[in-house]
Amino acid sequence: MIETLSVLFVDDEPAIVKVLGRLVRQVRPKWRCVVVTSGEEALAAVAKESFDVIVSDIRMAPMDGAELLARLTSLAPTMGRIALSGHADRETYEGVLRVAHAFLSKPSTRDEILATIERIAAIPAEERVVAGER
Amino acid sequence: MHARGTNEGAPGTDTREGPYAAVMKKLMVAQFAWAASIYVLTVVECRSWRAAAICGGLFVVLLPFNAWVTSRLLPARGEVFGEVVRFVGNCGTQVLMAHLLDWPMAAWAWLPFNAAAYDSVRPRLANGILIATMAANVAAAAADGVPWKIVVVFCFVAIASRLLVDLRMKAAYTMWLRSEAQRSELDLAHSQLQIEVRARERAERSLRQSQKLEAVGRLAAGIAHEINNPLQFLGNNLTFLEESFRTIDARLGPTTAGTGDDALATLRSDVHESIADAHDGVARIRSIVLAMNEFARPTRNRTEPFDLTRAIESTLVVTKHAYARAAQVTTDLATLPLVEGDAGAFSQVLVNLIVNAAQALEPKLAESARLDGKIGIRTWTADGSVFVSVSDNGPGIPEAVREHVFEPFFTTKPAGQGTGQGLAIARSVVEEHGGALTFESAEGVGTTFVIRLPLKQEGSPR
Repeated sequence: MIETLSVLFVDDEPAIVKVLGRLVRQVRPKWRCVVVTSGEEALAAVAKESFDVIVSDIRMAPMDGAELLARLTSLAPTMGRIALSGHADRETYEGVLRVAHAFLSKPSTRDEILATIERIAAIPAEERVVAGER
Repeated sequence: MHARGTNEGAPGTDTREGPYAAVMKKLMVAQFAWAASIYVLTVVECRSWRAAAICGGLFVVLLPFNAWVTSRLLPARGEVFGEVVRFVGNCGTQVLMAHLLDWPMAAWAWLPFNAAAYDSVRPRLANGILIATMAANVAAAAADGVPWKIVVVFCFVAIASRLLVDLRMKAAYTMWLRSEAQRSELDLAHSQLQIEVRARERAERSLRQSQKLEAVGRLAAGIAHEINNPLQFLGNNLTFLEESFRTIDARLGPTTAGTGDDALATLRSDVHESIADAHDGVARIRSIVLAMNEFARPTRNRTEPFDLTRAIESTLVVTKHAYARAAQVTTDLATLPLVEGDAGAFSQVLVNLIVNAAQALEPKLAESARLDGKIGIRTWTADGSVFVSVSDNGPGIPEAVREHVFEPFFTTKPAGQGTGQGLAIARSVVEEHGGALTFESAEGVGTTFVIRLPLKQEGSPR
């Protein structure tokens, strides 16, 4: 369990980011957690402060999650990038893995999400850069 | 007098009925007309009451005799016997008439008629009777001193008409054979056409079915995706509530009986149960959605040669938890060539079939404590295909259910134990590999599923 971490949740479904925020506050009270509901807001949040890990939905409009994560590979290359998508097919999976360090399919449980965040956060920053450039 | 020919063995006709009977009737009429003409000529030529009486008397006996032979004797005693009796009657009468009359033409005139009236289907019988008739006539003519020219002319006419009729009959028979051959060719073409039409109808039905399934698949994928979002926050919120109530519980401390807070105590325990049930519901929806996604999966990418035997062996390892309790597994695996396809998808097919077989044996397990459930896995090659069969000695698939077995979302398992996708997915995977998945089942005996995979792929799988 990682004691302190800053996480950004992005999903155009407010109920999802709200509950993810609640869950983190409940079981990882020392984490810093920001939730937004679009790619643009996410970029604005990243411009204001830095995060260890971002968990982003993929199918969003106008900027989709794949584009957001792709931009973040250059804007914040050391940030851990996790995709959380309702599309669990191989095309989406393989496409997203070019820009994300991990792929979670919806629905994922609290423990799966937290374990993935902690797994990605535990990877040394320089390795995350390499992995993101696949 | 005329001899009724024989037509036994004539293809397509019947001796006593139909067109042949009509011909016989006409022959009878011709015979009457012939006899009448001869009678008139005899009376005119001889101008004597004696000749008229002899000729008339013999005809009065002969005509009914011939009719009797045709209608009674032939059917009762057979062709050869009937015709020989007729020959004796007719020929005897002719010889007698030639001898009694001063005008031998009356007897000789029957010779060409007889020669023409015989049919040619049994030429040896017809020819024999004609030759015998001619011989008897010639002998009688010699004894009676009939002029040789008459004998020669009438014998010649008889032989000529016999040959002519024979030629005509042969020509007609050849034509008949030809038309018969054409007819059977036509029949063959017709039945082939019917087979093709049926095959096409089957293909169309199966195409319609697969289009329907594809549409259902697309729909399922769409629904699955739409369900995933609410499912995500539903499940997470339940987890949050569960955790929150646990914290609240801990803060409230243990419930004590008799403090008047019974209602609160019940509520506190009910909340946990209720959240657990809701969690269970979410998990079930999740597995249904996963199965829907699996079924709707439009592409299978990894096509490579793989070892089917190894796939079976590893599948048996990973499904052990599913069958170990219910059945003993026996394998009879042939040495197989590598198969082209998606090994992962194929393992899924095997998992589905093995888990299904194991589930079919569960009731058996409940009935008797001893382990007599059996699952048999066999592989073999034949006709350029690889076959894998998975058999169980379970209760079999009920007749009424069989045609629905491969339909998506069809299940006989209790709610929560199956999504009805396993066999539908299995069939779609096998068909994408150009193969077929079929089954045989007997109630009370068991069920065998057979996968057929062509060794040489007709085009790569989609």
